[in-house]
This record gives sequence, structure tokens and C-alpha cells, in this order.
Amino acid sequence: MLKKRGKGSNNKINILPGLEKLKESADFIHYKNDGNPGFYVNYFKSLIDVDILHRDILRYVSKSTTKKLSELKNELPIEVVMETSDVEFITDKIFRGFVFVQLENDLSNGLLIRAEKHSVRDVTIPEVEYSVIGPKESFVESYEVNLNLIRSRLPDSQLRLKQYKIGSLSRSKVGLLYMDGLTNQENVETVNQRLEDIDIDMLNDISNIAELISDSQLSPFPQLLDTERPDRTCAALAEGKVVILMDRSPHVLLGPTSLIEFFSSFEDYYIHWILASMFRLIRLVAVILSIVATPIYVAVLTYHHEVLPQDLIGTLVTSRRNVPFPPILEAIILELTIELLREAGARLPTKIGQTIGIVGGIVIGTAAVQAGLTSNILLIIVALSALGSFTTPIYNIGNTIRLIRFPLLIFGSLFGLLGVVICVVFILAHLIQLTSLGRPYMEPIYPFRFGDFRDAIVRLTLRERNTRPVYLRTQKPIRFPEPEKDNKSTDIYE
Amino acid sequence: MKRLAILSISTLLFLTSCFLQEEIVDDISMVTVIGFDKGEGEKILATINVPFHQSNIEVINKTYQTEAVFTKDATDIGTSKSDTPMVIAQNEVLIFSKELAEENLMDYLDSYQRDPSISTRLFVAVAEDKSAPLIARNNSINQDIGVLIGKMFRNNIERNFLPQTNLHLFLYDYYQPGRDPFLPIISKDEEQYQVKGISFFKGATYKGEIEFGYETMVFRQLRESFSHGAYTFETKDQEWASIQNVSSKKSVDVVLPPGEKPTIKINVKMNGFLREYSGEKIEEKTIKEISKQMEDSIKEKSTELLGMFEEWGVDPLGLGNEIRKNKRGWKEKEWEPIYEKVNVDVNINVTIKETGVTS
Repeated sequence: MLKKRGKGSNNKINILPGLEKLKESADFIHYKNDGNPGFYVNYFKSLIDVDILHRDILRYVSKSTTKKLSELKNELPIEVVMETSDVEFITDKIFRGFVFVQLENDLSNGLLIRAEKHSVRDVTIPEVEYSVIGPKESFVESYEVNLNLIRSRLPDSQLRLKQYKIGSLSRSKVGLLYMDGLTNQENVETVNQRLEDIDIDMLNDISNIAELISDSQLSPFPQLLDTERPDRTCAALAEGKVVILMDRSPHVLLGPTSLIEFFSSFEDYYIHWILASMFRLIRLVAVILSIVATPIYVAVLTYHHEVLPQDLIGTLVTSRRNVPFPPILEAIILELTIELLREAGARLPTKIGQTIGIVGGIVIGTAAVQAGLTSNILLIIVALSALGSFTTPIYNIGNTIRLIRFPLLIFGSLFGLLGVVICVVFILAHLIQLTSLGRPYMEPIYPFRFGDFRDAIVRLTLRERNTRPVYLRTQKPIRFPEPEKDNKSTDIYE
Repeated sequence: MKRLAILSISTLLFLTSCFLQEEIVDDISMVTVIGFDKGEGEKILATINVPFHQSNIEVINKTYQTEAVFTKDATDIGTSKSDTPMVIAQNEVLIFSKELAEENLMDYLDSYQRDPSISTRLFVAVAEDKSAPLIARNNSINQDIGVLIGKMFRNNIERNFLPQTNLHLFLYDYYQPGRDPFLPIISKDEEQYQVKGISFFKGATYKGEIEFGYETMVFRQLRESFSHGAYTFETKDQEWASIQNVSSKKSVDVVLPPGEKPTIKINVKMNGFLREYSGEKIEEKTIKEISKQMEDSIKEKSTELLGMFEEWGVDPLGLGNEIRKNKRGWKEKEWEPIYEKVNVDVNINVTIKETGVTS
């Protein structure tokens, strides 16, 4: 009954030759089904759901006796059915998981029936931005599922979606989400224009888009926040930010964003505000320590022994006496070792990765000190700064911190503390002029916006954070009316 | 524009006259104490102590002796005897022999006050006699003697009767018009350092000294407010009383009647705690008596001290400066000698707040 592919032209004003090229792929199925009337079926077996094909398409098409496509269309239990004769459109849709059905008597027309297969993994626990408290859902690789996760949290007519198809080969589905009447239209337009201007063949992940549409591509600082948490995404939408999502990518991009936001874990909003503020401060201190601790060690030990406290000299001198290298070499060796460990740990499968910790901890830690290759104190400092860079809730900024330590280290060894200061000034100058979708990156520190400090270095109570961040220039700056303060004092026993 | 920016930044970086000498902590000899004595002719004899850290607690003190014209030369010459270059940035204590102090200390301290790497918390002291024996031959002390002496001074300032002193305060007193500096006197008694007394200077020249103990307590009370420190004395009824100083507050009032001799009132309010008493019982009356006696004895001592200062022509209490604070157009020359131009009125008020549990 089934004829294998190869049955080509039945010579009328036929659209079948247009599909000739598809037949060169081994997974393209094309056959004629004899019947009354006979019909042709074309599809990619790798793209469609065979269940739908057999249960909802073939059963009805083979039973049908009609010779008109429009009648056949009504008989099918599937909603998305299109009658068309545009070869290009047909090709495109076949690649999107549609089945193309033609009746024997009318080869210039055909029906496109949707039967796509969703290869979707389950919604799982967030791994990069894990939190103990709060929702445990994270985005997956499917655009529809991700949209569902967002829409179900924001069932509001203001939530708008613009869709793009980017990449001449990948034809990736990219969505732009925003709240109409709330998000600054300028921000939406900026993203819209930048997305439309992308001219590329292949997009693999949303990080490609982040790289393509960032304000400054030379900067090591990420200018769009990359998250896998639907709750964070919805909070950003409600705040007046723009969200970009892409099919086949389990992350979404949020923008405009500021540097401080990269150090706020979303769990901060689920725990008590005083605790959250404390943890945020600890995280900021850890990051600063992680950047400057080793450079300061090198600078002080090489040039500024006068600043060392008297009580510390004995410890420093004795731990360094057996080390044959100058402090800079010692520091670079250790820093590179830690980076090596981290890279090795990231490349290896999880089960083998565990041994890396042991190798790193015992071999590098203890043995290097005993062999007199590094000093104990530097080992502590380097380990602490590595630890500090792990505290960042957003993975991308952690990588940036890993990197900017090195120029500081080299300047510190060349010019002492002066060099460290010069390097820090360079970094700050760069950060101050940096923008995210045209909005200042260092906000609220520069430009100084006092109101936005309510959710920056510390997080105040939800009640007090009743305005949207100033730098987003939203159409509705007030989130909710300020609750009336109840000044009446009550006794606990009343 | 960009090229100009890069050029100017690199100029700033590479053409600075700031000269960074690489001095890695374990490749330098960090001098912690230097003692200066009179050497041959114009030269000074410097005794330099360099600690060698064996472990973070065990230290061997190495001593070098050099003769040089200037203070900084001494360490430079010392470098030629040592395996690593000598640096003085971690210097804790400077000791001058009495012989040098009698000349002019500023000749030697000048290079120290101008060196930015020197901490002005550096202690400057005068040796009882010569400074070399204080530093040399310290083989039995397995601690950095610089740290040791520095801590000893700090301890005496915090818990005893040594008034606040360091290089900064010395210079402050030296440059402030109507004030004269003082320095502690250090001595060594069988491997143990101690503060022997306080020496007084006119300008930077040694004039006289008082002994550590009761005299320095009274001096400190007249000079500054402080807490801590204990003193034991004999009462009129042949009993002994030990009073711990809880707080001693000093304030100064200046009365300037027109056409008359101005009066400087130094008020000292001391709160004490009667720790021990050899008598049978402590009653309200005894406490009053003890505090009265203490007041009298402090007052007596302070008159004695002021007499000594007048004799030496020094003003470590800054009496001239007190007048300067209150009088326009003050000139140092017009108010010298200060003790003849003003009346000094010392008011002591001792309160015993506590006697502890009595049975």
C-alpha cells in the first residue's frame, strides 16, 4: 500500500517539483496513498508526532471521499490547517513540523496540517540560580513552555509579545516581552530595532543574542541579565523591564539592568528584608575582596612593607622565607592553579568532577606549601577570593570578576598600591560610562538616585519599595499606593 | 583625542618621578630599634637592631653598630654589613643617649619627621646613660626588642602613669608656641626594660628629669585626662592606703583681669577606688581623711613640679599656650619666663567612689 518516496511528477501545474530538494534528505517521507481519491503525504519524520499523523490525520483523510480540500479541511479534528499553493511557505512549514497533504485530483494545492513534535524536557529545579525558599521552576528549552511559565504568573492583557525569526539557517524563534502601558516604549523600540538588525546565520543560545545586542561589546561586564528563573523574569516585567526569550534556550535576558542587580539573588526577596540586606552586603564585600585581595597582597609585600602591622610581620616573613619566587609570580601561579581547577571542574562530568576538589584541596593546597612553592597566607587569600567570586548569584558576572583580577594583579606588581588604584579608577571610569540598553549601568550609584537605594545595596521592605526604579523611566512610576501608616500605638495586652 | 588621552595617561604612569624601590618583605632587614650615641668627633654611633624571624614567635635579634654623620647614613652603612638592605620604615623605637639629648635632638629627628614611610607613632626615648648597651647583647631575649619596648611604652601609657608620647606628640609640643616637649627615659635592668622617668626639654634640648612613679602621676594629671593606674601612700595614722585611679579629668580656666597678673587654674578631678587599706575599718570619716590627704599631697607635689619646671625654664604643661588661646596678639617673647608672668593655681579634687565590700 505504501509507496516509498521517489514518485515524482504527475505533471499538472504541480507544486510537487518544488519539494524535490527535500527528498534528498533521508528522513523526508513522501508517499501516495491509493484510495478514493488517492492522496499524497509529505513530512519529515523527525519533526512530526507520528501519533497525531496516524490518529488525527491519516484516519480522516483516508476515510474521506471528498475531492475538495476545503471540505477535507473541515473534516479534520485539527485546528491549524492551511490551504496553500505557495511552495516557499510550504517548505518552511514542513520544516516546522507540518504535514503536507495533497489530493490526487488537485496537485496545485495542498493542506498544511500541524503535527509537530515537542521534544521538551520537564520543567526542573533551577541549577544556576538555586534557592532554598521560593518557586523551584526553571525555564526549559521550549519557547512555548517558557511562555506558559511567564504568562501563568502574569495573566494580564498588558503583557505583550513580539516575535522574530532570526538566523538565516537556524531561523530561531525569538520573543520580546514587555508590559504595554508600563514599560518605557523607548526601551522596547531599542530592543526591537536591535533584534531586527541582527543579520546572522546561526543562533545557538540566548547568550549569542546578548552578545549581539549589548551596548558595548568590548566590555567584559554583562549588560543584560541572564536568568533561568520565571519568578525573576516576571518581577522584572512588572518592574518595567524588557524580556527577551528564545526557542531552544533555557535562559532569558532581562534589560535594562544595573551592576548592583547582578549581585542580588532572587531569594533575597523571599527572606526577611534585614537578613536579605545583610547577605547582599556580605556578597558585595566578598566580591570586592575577591577583586582586590590578591593585588593588595602583592603590592604591599613588594613595595609597601611600612603599612604592615608589626604583629603580622613575623607570620608573613616566616611563611614567605622558603618561597623562591617574588610575590607576583607566586600569586600568578596560585591564581592560575585555581583557574585551572575551576576549568577542569567545569569541563568534567559531575561524578569525576568531585575528585577535582580532592586533588585541588590536597595536592595544590597542602603540598605546594610544604614544598615551599607558595606561602600559607597567599594560599588563604587566593582561596578566599575564589570563594568570593562564587558568591555571585548570576553566573556571568562571576566570570567577569575572575578576569578583572589579573590586570589589577599586574599593575599592583608594577606600580604598587598606586597601580592598584589606577587600575580600579580605570574600571570605575569604564563602568560609569557603560550603559544597558541606553540606561546607566551604575545606577543608583552614578547617577545618584536616592530612591533606588531601597533595592540596591540593601533591600527594604516590600511596602517601602512601592516605586519602580527611576532609571527604567517607566510609564507608571508608582507600583502601588503607599499604604497608610498606622500611628496608633497599641499595647501588647489589648 | 583618543591618542592624546592614551599618551597623557602613559606619561602619567611612566614618567612619574615617584621611584618605587622593590622591597619584598622577606628580602629586607627591617630595623625596629636604633639607638644613637656620640661617636668620634662630629659623628654619631648608631646601634641598630634587626629582628630575624625564625618562626612567627621566635625571633633572633641581630645588632649592628655603625658610625655616620647623619642618621640615615647609619642604616645605609649598616646595609654594607648586612645580607639584605636595611629599611627603617618599620622602626618602632628611637633611643638617644643623654649626651645627645643635651645638645639638640631636632638635628637627628628632622630626617625622621620628613620621611613619609616613618610612622609618627614611633616612640622616641632618652636612655638613662648610653643607648648602645640597651640594644646590643640581647641574645637571651627571643622577641623582637623593638616590639618589646614599643609594647612596654604602650602598656605604660594605657595602664600606668606615662603621659601620651610618641614622635607626633613630641613634634606637636616642639612646634606649638608656648609649649615644650618631654620624652620618656628608658633603662634596662638585667634583660628587662623599664620606664625610668620623664625628661623635659626646652626646644629640643634636655633640661631635667623626674622619676617614674608618683611624680609622673601628678605630672600626667596636670597634663591630660586619663584613667587607670594605682598609687599607694602612707596616711597620717601610719596606715597604708592603695587608691586606684578610675578617672582623672583635667580642665583649665584662664582668668585675665585687666592690668593684673593673669591666673591659670588647673582643675583636676580624680575619681578613685580605695582598693586596699591596712587599717582595721573603713568609715566615712577615714575615706574623707584619705581623700583629703591625697589632695594635699598631690597639690604639694604639683607645686614642687612647677618649681622644677621654672628652674629648668621648660613649659611641658603648655601654660604659655593657654594664655595664647585666650589673648589676642600673644607673643612668645612677652610671656617669657612664663612662671613669672602668670599665677598658676592648681585645684585638686579627689573623690573616693568605692571601697569594695566591707565586713
